[in-house]
Amino acid sequence: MVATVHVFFDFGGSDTMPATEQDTNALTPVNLRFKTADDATIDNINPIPIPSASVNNSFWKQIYLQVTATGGFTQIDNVQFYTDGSNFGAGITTNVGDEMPVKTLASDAGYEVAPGTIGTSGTDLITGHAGITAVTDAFSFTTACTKAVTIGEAGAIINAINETTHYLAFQMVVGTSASPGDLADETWTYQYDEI
Amino acid sequence: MPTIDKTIKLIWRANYDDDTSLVEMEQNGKHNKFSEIDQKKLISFELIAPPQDAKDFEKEEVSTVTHNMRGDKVKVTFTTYNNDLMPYYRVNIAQGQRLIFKRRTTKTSGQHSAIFGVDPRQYKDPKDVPTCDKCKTKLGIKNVPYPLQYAGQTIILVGWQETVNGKNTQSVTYLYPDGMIETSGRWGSDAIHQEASFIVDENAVEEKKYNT
Repeated sequence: MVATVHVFFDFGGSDTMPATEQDTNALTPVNLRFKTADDATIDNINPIPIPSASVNNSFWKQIYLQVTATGGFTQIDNVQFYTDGSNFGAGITTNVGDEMPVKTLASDAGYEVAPGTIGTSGTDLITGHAGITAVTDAFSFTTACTKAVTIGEAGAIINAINETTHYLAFQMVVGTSASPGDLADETWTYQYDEI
Repeated sequence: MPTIDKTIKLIWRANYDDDTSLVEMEQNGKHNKFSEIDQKKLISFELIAPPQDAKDFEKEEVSTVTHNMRGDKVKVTFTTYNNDLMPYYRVNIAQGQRLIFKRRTTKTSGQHSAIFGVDPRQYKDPKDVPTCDKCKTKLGIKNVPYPLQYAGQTIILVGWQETVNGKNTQSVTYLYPDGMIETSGRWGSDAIHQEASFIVDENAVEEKKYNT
């Protein structure tokens, strides 16, 4: 029988010590929101303002997979991330860090708390995150071109409850040509092999 | 034929050359791990419904004719049950072949949106946008989100790999949750069809005993 695997993100606290490991399945609705605050609240507070010049960033999100119930599985590997290739529209880019900062059952060493000015803009992911030196448009990863997600657990596999993948660090960047209002959800997919 | 949620429920059964088998989940609820399969003895690998789905047990009616004490012909019909679960899919593992098996699972974000109301952008003059009869405010778009019907799916990859004259060959069948079954002789490049790693002791293939 299959393991139960949920999508988590960490927030708050300080570098290498997140205050909360948030299971998105525990949120109502099951969701995560790019906003100009470092929290897990699903609301319309602290949206990303459309700038008159340059860009405004969301606070970055550090996302990972975690096994929450085993179900008798042997191992999980070959974790991939991809999207439907349809982005949030003109003036809006959603970047993912090329590197995957360390996240395991035993370590949050790669975690960096998301800084910025609440309600205005988050710090740029490359500038502010010590574990990220380059980013790529998340929507460039599709079923035809996936992003391999690394695992830092022993043997580079997940084979026990609460084990995780490394972080994927995301940030939404809003430019002057963006349109105001709520954006429709887009489809992102985590894929993994299990035996 | 697997239906919408059958691929996530299907369990495996490994059949050995000594007429024994190992099933992923036994009727007493015990789970056996894939790594516990004895690849040296493996001759076939099946996907079956969990034992609790009793309706999946094979059932058939058998009729026979006999005579009563007066010599009249009497037809007797009775129902037989096969204690064995019928597999949805079976792959036979021949000499030199290694089993391929993975549950390729996706977890997908997003939601559908149902859009109601009037889009004010279709009116050149904002004054022309209709108003609500009751509250007299300008009508607008109401976006009602609702969850994806299938926020995740499990595709089962099952087949065999063999090295022939130094060349890697394989047959992989993909069982989709909507019932589609696809077989390919090569790995693909897209997310669903990309190559899977598999853990089989190389020596097991050479040492395997065969009775066919």
